[in-house]
Amino acid sequence: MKNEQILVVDDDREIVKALAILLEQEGYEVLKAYDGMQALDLLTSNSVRLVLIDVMMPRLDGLSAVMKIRERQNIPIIVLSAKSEETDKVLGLSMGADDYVAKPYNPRELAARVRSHLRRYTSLGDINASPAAGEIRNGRLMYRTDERVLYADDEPVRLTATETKIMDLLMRNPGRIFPAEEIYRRVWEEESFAPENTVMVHIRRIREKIELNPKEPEYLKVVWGIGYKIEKMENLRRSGV
Amino acid sequence: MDTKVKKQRIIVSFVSFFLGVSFLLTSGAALLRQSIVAGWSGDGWARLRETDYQNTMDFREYVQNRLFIFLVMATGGEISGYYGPDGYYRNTYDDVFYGTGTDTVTEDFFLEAGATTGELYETEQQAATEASKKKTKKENEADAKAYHEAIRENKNLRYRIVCDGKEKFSNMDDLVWDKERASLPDGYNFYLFFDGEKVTIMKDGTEVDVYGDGYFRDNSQWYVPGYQNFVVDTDLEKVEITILAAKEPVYYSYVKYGEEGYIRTESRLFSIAEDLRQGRDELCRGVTGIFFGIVFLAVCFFLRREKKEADFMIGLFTGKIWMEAKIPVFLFFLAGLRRILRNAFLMDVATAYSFGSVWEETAWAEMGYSVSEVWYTLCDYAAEHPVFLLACFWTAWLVFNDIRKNRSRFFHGLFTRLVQTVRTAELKQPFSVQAVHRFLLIVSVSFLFVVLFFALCISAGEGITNDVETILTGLFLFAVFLGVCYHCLYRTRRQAAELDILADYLTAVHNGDYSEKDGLPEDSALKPLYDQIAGIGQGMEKAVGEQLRSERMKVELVANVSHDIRTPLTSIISYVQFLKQEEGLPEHVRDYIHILDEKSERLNNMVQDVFAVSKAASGQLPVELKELDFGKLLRQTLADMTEQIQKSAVTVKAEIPEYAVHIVADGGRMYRVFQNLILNALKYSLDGSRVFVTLREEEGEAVACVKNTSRQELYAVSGFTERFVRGDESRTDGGTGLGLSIAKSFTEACGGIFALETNADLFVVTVRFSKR
Repeated sequence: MKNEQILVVDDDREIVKALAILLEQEGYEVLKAYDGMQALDLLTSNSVRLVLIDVMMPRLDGLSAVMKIRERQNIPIIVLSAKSEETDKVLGLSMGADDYVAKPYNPRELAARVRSHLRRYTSLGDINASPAAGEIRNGRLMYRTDERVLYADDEPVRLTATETKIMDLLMRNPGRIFPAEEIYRRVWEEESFAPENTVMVHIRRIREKIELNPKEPEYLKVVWGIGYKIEKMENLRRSGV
Repeated sequence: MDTKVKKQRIIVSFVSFFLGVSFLLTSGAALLRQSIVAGWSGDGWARLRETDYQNTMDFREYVQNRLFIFLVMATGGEISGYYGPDGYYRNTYDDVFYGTGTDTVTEDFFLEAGATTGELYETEQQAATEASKKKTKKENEADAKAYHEAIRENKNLRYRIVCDGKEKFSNMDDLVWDKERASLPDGYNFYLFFDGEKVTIMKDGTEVDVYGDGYFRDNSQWYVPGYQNFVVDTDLEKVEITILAAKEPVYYSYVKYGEEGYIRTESRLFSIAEDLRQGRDELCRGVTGIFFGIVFLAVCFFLRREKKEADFMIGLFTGKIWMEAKIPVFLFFLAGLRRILRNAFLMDVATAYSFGSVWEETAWAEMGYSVSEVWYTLCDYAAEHPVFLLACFWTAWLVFNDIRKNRSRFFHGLFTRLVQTVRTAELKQPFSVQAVHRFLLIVSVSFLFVVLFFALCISAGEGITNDVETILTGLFLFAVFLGVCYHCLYRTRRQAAELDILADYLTAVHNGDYSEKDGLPEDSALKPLYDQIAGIGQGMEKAVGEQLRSERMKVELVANVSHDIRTPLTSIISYVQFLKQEEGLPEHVRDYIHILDEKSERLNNMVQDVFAVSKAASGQLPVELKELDFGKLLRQTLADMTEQIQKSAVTVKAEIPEYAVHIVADGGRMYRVFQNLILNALKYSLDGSRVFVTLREEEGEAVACVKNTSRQELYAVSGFTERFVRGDESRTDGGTGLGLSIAKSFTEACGGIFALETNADLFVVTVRFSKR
């Protein structure tokens, strides 16, 4: 099978090279572009499966390029930018990007994100397909209530019994905030004097298994001063090419 | 050109306004008078449409009156008077006046109404007294004869009284009149004949239906014998009376000189006709006048904008006139008005009621004037004297316009100017001098008041002034005294109020509110002071604004620099990662790579922290405030940091209440705060010592404390939260030196209070939030 093509766009050649090395190690074929116009040209002549693009570039900046790509193609786009502010992220995502990674990136995390997006883009079902009975989908996560199995990017996650119970509770109520006391009561089924530590330990372990970057969790979040929750994601899956 | 046209339009608008109102007023007064007169006379307005005086009720009443008198004369009864159909007493003297002089005889038109001066009054009194006595037949005959003598020369009314076929009285002997023919003599068109039973009336050759169905009713026009319900005695059967009335009556006077008095024949018929004509003329004039008035007012309405300007210009002109000049003119006008009105009433009362010549100045109400009579008198006077009416109205208008357009400048005048000059001079004095002046003014006025009061008492005692004068002067003095006292009190109070305003303003500026306030009035003594404070406020505001701007610029700079640093840093970190993956490198090279990895990571953290802290310091850190449990936040933070705590050489003691302590803050930011504080404590604490994390409630505040014992001696430095200040200066332990600074600025961004204190080796950080 021919390797999947990934387009990397950045005006800093060293970074493009570093990304190319990283992605080639992962087994992808990398196309390199150094500005927006070049990126658009390459996209027309190649069947690119994913785009990694910088924001500040000469000739055509990243966000404009994203909009142009979106006019024609539905492929996943990850914006890679040194601007790490909340507003920049929101802007990038609203322009049509699927993900926003701040520089300096964590290579392992970036690789995981690329994998995740590609899998969802190429192998997962249609966005319009209604979830099968007993399936709870939330972004990258999917929980099968009948089997009590959690899937991340459609791969089963190996959880302990307690972790499964916690995830069962949270996945059934995405977005709802559970205080540690409630989680403890419902998972351990007994009252606890100081559940915070116990719950936190399990939360951290689950994060290691499901989050792309456990240090900056996207799904399993602490709501400081209140409790814990699973972020309710939009099911941003696009239909196949 | 344009301005000239405009000026003309203004003039036209005002002139049309003037003419319109003047026409309306004069015509309105005339019409009003006529309407009142019409209301009095039975015919009402119909009278004014009538061109023939013989169709009026006045004429009919007159003729009836005559007929009855002639009947009385024919039968030899007493002719002094009788009661008419309306129940009013009618005298027989309608056309006759007795008098002793010649002065007022023909002079005045109003004599017709039946009144003259005192002599007549006395004569009438005598006549009444005489009438009260029963008269003999002979005396009656003499009276009738005298009466005949008095009225025979009035050729407007011809009569022949026949009794028993014998002519008794007649003034129509000189008339050439063929009785057999239906036509009347020249100049006469009204013919009344009483044949001893019934009355026949011919007018312009046609017979008038006198009796209708034969019964006298309210709407019957002629009250004469011959109705079925009008019973007369049999004496009348032998009487025949013929009456002729002139088509166009003329004025007749008959004066007998050489006797003690005189008898004057008046021409009632002439006055009835004349009244009718005049009334009609006046109505015509009135309607025409009203028409013109409306036309002019319509013009004025079309030019109302110009009219307004004209009003304004007139107001401008009158505003320039000093009050001292206006008031006398106005008073003079009022005095004239009073005099004229009094004369009008005096004359009218005299004429209408024949009161004596000795007219006391008594209010008309006491004279028994009813409201409608006053109203008529006013209307009558206004209609008779249009110039006076217009003068009244336009003076009132000028005063009104002046008041309306010159509200503030209405009292403009010499006195006001004097007061203003004195006040301006006073305001230039220092504040204290003003206060002294006010005090002196009160003292001197009090003194003057006392002196004058005593003088007044003495003068009253000596009889120089009478009671009324004394009391009035005393009251005036007292009023002046009170006025001055009030003035001083007002000034003092005003200055005190201004001081309050100044104090408030100063407080506001002190509290950092530099906005413009209402301020003090321009003429205030404290105005300069106020302006100076305002200047300080503005300076402060400007300085604060500039500081804010420079702070913002700093944040922008930091944002740009951090971006610029991150780009090469990305490459460094990426390639170090690749290096780390390389196999077969010598051990010392691995060591180098490890150092590179660590330092690049630290650089990355530093860049992020610097950015965050500079944003927070300039107040641009976005915070998401919501209600949360402070205790839970601390427990979660500690739970999250369990690994680091366990790895460190210290133990953490938490004293956090079980119950919820609600505050409003941004949970994520506050997590960073306590993470930093605890990391700081772990890093710098003495090995084996304890770190205390406590939460207490104090007077509506939630107070969190992180206490630790420092490993190194704490110098009494206050710069812990300054950026890049660290426990040691060697900077090798991975900290960025921004921990406390971030903790402080994040706490403050969330609305909390961050405090830090050192006591020997004890390092205490308190974070306070007000409780919900």
